[in-house]
Amino acid sequence: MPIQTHHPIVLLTGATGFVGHYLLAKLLEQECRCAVLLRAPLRESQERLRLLLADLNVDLDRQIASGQVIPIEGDLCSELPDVGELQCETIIHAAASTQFDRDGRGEPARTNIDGTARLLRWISQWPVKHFHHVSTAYASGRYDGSIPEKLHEGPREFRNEYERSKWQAERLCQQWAKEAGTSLTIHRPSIIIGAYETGRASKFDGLYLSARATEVFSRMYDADDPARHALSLRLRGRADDCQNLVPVDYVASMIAAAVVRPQMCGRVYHLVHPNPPTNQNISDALNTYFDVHGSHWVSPESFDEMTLSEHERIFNDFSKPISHYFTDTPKFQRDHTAELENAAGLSCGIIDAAAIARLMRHAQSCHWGKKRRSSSVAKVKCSDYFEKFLPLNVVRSQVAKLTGLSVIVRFIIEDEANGQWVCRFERGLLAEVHRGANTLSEDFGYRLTRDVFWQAVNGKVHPQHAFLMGQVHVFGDIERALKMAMILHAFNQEFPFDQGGRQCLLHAS
Amino acid sequence: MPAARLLNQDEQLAESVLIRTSDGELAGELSYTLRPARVGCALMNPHPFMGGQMNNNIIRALAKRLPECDAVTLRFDYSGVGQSTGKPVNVPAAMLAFWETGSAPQDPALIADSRAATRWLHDAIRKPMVIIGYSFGAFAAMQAIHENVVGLVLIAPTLRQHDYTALSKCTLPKLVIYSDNDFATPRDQTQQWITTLQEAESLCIVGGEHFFKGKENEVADACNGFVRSVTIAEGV
Repeated sequence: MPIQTHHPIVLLTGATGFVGHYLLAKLLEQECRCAVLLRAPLRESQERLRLLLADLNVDLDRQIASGQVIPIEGDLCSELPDVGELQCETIIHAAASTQFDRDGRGEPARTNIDGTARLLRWISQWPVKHFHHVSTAYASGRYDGSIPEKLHEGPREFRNEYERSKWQAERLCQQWAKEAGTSLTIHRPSIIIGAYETGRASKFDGLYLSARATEVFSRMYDADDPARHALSLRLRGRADDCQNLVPVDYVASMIAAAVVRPQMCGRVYHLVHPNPPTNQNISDALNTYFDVHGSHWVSPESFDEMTLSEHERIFNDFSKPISHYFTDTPKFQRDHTAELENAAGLSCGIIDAAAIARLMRHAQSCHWGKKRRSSSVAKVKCSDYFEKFLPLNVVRSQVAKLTGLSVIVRFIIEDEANGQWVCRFERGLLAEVHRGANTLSEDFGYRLTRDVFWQAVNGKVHPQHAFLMGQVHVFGDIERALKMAMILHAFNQEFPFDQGGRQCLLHAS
Repeated sequence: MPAARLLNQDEQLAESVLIRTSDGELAGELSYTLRPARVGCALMNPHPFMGGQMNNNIIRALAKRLPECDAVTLRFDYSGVGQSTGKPVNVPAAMLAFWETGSAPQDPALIADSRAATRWLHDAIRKPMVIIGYSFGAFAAMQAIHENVVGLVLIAPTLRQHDYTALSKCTLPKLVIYSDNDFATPRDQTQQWITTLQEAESLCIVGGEHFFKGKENEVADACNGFVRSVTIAEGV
């Protein structure tokens, strides 16, 4: 079928999102004129979009100057502007919250349900012919058998609030399209990963959470430490079950392909992989990449959750939000998708060890999407603190003397190589400090990043608040760990490791 | 001068307050809407040694959500915490006792603060009162009951650390919220204890641990439902 040229304006929501900016690049490639809804302040959102598109070799400033991209300031969660003369016949609603559980701001319902309803009210007077809604393959909730490419009736059982909100959003769109007489196309991608060839991603959840845990294991041990090849790690799930991973550029190309082919609109597309990798394939690829071994899959029925090893606790902490996807692995029909692939000449690349290695290389190169702080303190090694500063100052500390504790505490600094220390306190004195995984059995421990660690030891962040904010993970005896956090804070205020602390170390050496 | 903005009746207002006590002043915040108040809710924080401040995730969520059912909420910081004044605490010395027992020397002062705050709120609005305590705050709430209190909510009460047996004689309507994996409020012990209470309903939040991270709205929904039912029963 011929592809339309000189398309009318397409309105895109969620353009700065993971799928959204890839989709915008693909639409521009197809010569679509795109109005993009960007949050206030427009200048900041536009700058963010400019940087994202620059990575994809798209010059946003030039596209705006030529009229191919029309930025509109507005927020689906608050106010949408009056754009009286904008004649959009095609709407692509890609804005979404991927928060799995309900948070204090009311997400994911706030964006996914209320935001969708607000968008539909906003465009109700426009001459819209095609509405494209970017949903998720998991909007079906739990489903027996192969999931069809059609709208799901309720009531349904969902694994989390995200799935529920996306299902409700689909229903809102369906009702609106029916009343407006508009064609509705629903795109349901599965678990989205970085671009196929480059591994580039701008969001690091889903697969990346378990990958991050594997990276932490690799950092826990020196390269030549045999312990890194003998992890005590049972993974809850069936080895042969498949995880449906799809590259973001494939998803974006498929949506753009449907947008420019009106004859293929008005259907549901499962943008899922036809041959997804198994749990075993994925864990093997991650273990190989990070050079750790020893994990094995245990079926949920025979997994004893009462006796977790330290490795298992760490893995669970990281992968908690996605743990049900290891055990509940639905199958998706994709007949419509195959037709669209044929029409557009697209296909989904094989997700093998090489593809996963590309994803990991990119994730590590951009520090898993976390901004790096460049403080002078960050240049100091954590080992200086544990192995020099603590022995020097605990003995002088009134806090340590008054509390007089006998306790063994493990600290795991995630992003420091071999970043694990165990401190044994005996009646308020630091009896011994060991680096690396060792046989000392801790009463409890803390796992945190280097940035949070330095903020805590400088007294800038209260360790208890860092825990409550989710920046510090505690394992072992939680009650004592929180009490100890109070004592550590008092010690950190007594002996902050800032300028004075470093000078103190210089004198000592 | 900017034009004055008319407030919507449903819009929530926050008002900073200072509550005088015999030892100093407690810094607090009232939350309410312009609709006529039907009930006062005094919110009691966890122990200051366990991150107990009025900006705690659960306390903040309750202050935000309870005005939906025409409640005026009061949250406050205990003496010596945040902007609240009071006798200074020797943290390391107090921590020694707290480490071993879960009780610190200044605990009676914290309970006195809770009583003062509850009285203050009632004097300010002259409406029936519900006291809501979280963690150590549940222990404080139990001891702040007075004649105008019509309901009690205990969130993750510290059963392992404190003695709650006195509550078995209390006939006020109660709601106990706990989770299935809480170090301070073991599930089996909690369920057994609930059977000793009169007029008690309960809710177990799966995976809430002691901190209910990500479960704040679930806790607030349950509290809202309880406060509504209590005010209806009281004919307010």
